Amino acid sequence: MRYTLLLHYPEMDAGSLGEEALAAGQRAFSSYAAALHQANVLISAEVLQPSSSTTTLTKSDGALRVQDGPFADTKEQLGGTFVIDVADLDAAIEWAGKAPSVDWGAVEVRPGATYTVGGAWRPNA
Amino acid sequence: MTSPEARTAARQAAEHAARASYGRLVALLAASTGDLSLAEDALSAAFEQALVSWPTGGVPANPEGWLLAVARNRQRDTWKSASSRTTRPLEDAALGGDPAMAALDDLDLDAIGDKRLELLFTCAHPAIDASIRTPLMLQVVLGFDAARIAAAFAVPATAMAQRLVRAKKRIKAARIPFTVPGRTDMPGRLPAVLEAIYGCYALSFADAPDVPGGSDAEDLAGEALYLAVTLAALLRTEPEAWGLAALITLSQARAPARGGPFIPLEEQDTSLWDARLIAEGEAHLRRAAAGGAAGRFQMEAAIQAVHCDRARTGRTDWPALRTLYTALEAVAPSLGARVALAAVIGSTESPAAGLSALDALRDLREGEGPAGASAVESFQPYLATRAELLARDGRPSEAAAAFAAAAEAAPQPVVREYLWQRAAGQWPNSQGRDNGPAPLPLR
Repeated sequence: MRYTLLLHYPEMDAGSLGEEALAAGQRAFSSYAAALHQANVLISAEVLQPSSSTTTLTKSDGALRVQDGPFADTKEQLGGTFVIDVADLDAAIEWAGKAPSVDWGAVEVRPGATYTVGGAWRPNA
Repeated sequence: MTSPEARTAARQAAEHAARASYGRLVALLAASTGDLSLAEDALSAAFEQALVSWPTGGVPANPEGWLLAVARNRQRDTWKSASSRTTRPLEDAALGGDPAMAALDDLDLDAIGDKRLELLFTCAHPAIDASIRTPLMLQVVLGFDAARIAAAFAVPATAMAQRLVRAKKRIKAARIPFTVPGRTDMPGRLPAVLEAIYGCYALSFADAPDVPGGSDAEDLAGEALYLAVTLAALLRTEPEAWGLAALITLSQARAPARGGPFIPLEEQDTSLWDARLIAEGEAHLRRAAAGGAAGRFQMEAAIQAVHCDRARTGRTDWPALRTLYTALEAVAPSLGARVALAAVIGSTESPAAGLSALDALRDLREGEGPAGASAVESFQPYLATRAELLARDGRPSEAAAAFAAAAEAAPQPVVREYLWQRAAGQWPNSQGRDNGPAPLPLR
């Protein structure tokens, strides 16, 4: 069963965070990814650039609008995703609890519905 | 041809199987699929089929085994038609092949094992909203229908049915497992199961409107007792599980004294109490105490045991209650425990000392903001305790007003009636009073 771990946390830039904290965070994410890989549950992972780099598209009255900034302007932003394949919700929760960002923000555990293999949809499970 | 007698016998056999085995069968059916709704539908189809075929063919020697086999076939038919599932259910192996081929009476539920414990942990999973855990247990483990559960919780039946469906969908969609947590996770997971069972018991005291199908309060109390003792026995050495079993058993021991008009605990005729249940409850409490550090349920059970001990000694050990309530307040602080402690102080020291303790409690909460004080002042046990202490302190006019306020806030009609009588300056019980504390809603 595939679950996507959605990592939400307040955004901090390298300046305010400091070199050392940034390096520590990177190390933590490295060992987290390695542990997921070692356990043979990691499908994919991505840490996103800050929402200041994001662009949001909306369509109203048939016209496409391209906007600077995130879809929802909230204090906590989606900062990264991990797709894992594990037995059940308890296993997913256990991995989610080990995500380094759980110390700074919420980790959402969302079961997948379908995913693609070679461009074709397959049901999750 | 089907005689009316055969139909009646078949219905009784089906109803008995339903009551005795509902949770076990649902647990077995759902364990392999994670789909509680499908399991319930398959089981109810099996019950319907039983009502058709048992009157003519006779009640099978092993009704539960028959129901399980028929329900499992139903469940499999649904899969075959609906899904692209390729895995076979785990329990096939345990049952030794296709149950349709097996002799139905050979299906031995005991040999398969009891999956109700797993089901209890699923219902009280942290990913399930806390407010729906007890209703979910009532439905899938005990077989209560949504309308009865809705009545017990005083919410509209359609709303309750929707919430139950949503919770079951969630269990399936997010694949919440049917497992008993391991030793590491148990401390984090057990309290929710205990809370939900306790919630089931507390409901039996709630002012539920009468619903067709019998005395719900007695049913709920009995089922909660059964669940608590089953849980404790299945977990074997969990102190708080035995604590809850002891708490409910000891409280149920006094159930025979609860019929009719309200009589405060300290004035109840102890000869009405169930000596066998008291002995059982005390045995549960000893098993809890053997497990180490005393938790909330064990403390509350010990408090119940002190009250029950009056049946043996003829008196209530107030100093022991004071020690226990002080300890409970330290382990699990709650408004109820603080008010009860004030009532006990009113008995061990003086009514004035009890009133001071109540005032201190109100002032403390007031310090946390205006909502804090009003939460205390609208808390019915606070009002009732205050009224009793004022009466005993020789302040009749203040007591009358306080009893009236307590009566207004009382959810149970018999308690309300008792408090109105007290407000009118009457002692409803002709034997007068002992030195008991305030009439807490604890009966």
